[in-house]
Amino acid sequence: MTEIPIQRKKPPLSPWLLVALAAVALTLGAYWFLRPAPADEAAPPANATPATPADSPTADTSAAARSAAPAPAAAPDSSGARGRLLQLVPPLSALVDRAELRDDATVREQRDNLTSATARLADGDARAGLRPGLVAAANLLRAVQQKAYPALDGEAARLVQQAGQLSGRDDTAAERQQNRQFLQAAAALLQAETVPPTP
Amino acid sequence: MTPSINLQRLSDLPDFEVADGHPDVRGWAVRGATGTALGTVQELLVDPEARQVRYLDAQLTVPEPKRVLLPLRLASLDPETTSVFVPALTDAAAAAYPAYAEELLSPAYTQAMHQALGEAS
Repeated sequence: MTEIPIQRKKPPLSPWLLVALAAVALTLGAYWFLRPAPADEAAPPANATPATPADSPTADTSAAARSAAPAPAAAPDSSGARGRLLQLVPPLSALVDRAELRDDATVREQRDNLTSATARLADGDARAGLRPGLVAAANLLRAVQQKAYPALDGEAARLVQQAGQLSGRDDTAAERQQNRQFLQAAAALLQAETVPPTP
Repeated sequence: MTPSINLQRLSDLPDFEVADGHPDVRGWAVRGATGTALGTVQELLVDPEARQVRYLDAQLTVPEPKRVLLPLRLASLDPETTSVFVPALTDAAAAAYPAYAEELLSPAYTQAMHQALGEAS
């Protein structure tokens, strides 16, 4: 005998479950797009141009972030790469405070990266890695070069490349040598960029 | 079998559906004793308490257009050809089959249906 039973319809997927899934997706998306930029991100391309106007609100935010950056807890020990890197930070900050540089979006972004990357080093955090700070310093010098010193393109590109090859440690003789060479090159480029560009 | 007075159209029961693993035969062809298509299943009349389909509400076109109720227990389902075979529905039975015009299954209709199909009521 043929039978066709019927059944109660299954309840549809709970709308609350859908809402929860949407919330999770939004949270993940927000985290992905709003996470802090890594300090060792690639240097800006050679033809990068500043996209943010000088009087944009982000300028104030950035300035506030800079002023809120912790000051070094103590005078950096100049004998190691950590100390020499921290010694580079004040002249780098003075450099990018120049009128023609401080409002450039790329320079500002790289400066923020440097501040962020060296903050833990300045606090004396032994676990803080050197590499983000070294890479950020190279990227900042590169950004300044692209903004105002086209003649230093080769030196800046080499410095960024050199930074990318660093291990971030300063333990072995080879690592110390690599860090020393990089910091010397960075100091030389900083010196060259300290001279106001010729019109 | 005495039809329940609680029969309802499945489409009038929004909380119910044909059970998983069983075909919803609405739209299937109704074929009689000779295998000829006589019409189409339009609706299912169900017993909500027993949760079973009891009758097929079909629109016959042969030998003449009319709406009829067919007891499911006398039918065989063929999913491959999407056909409902009713062997008892001969040409003569189809011609004599009572037209179903009531919204509810009346005792008079039930008796005429059983007679047409050669069943004792």
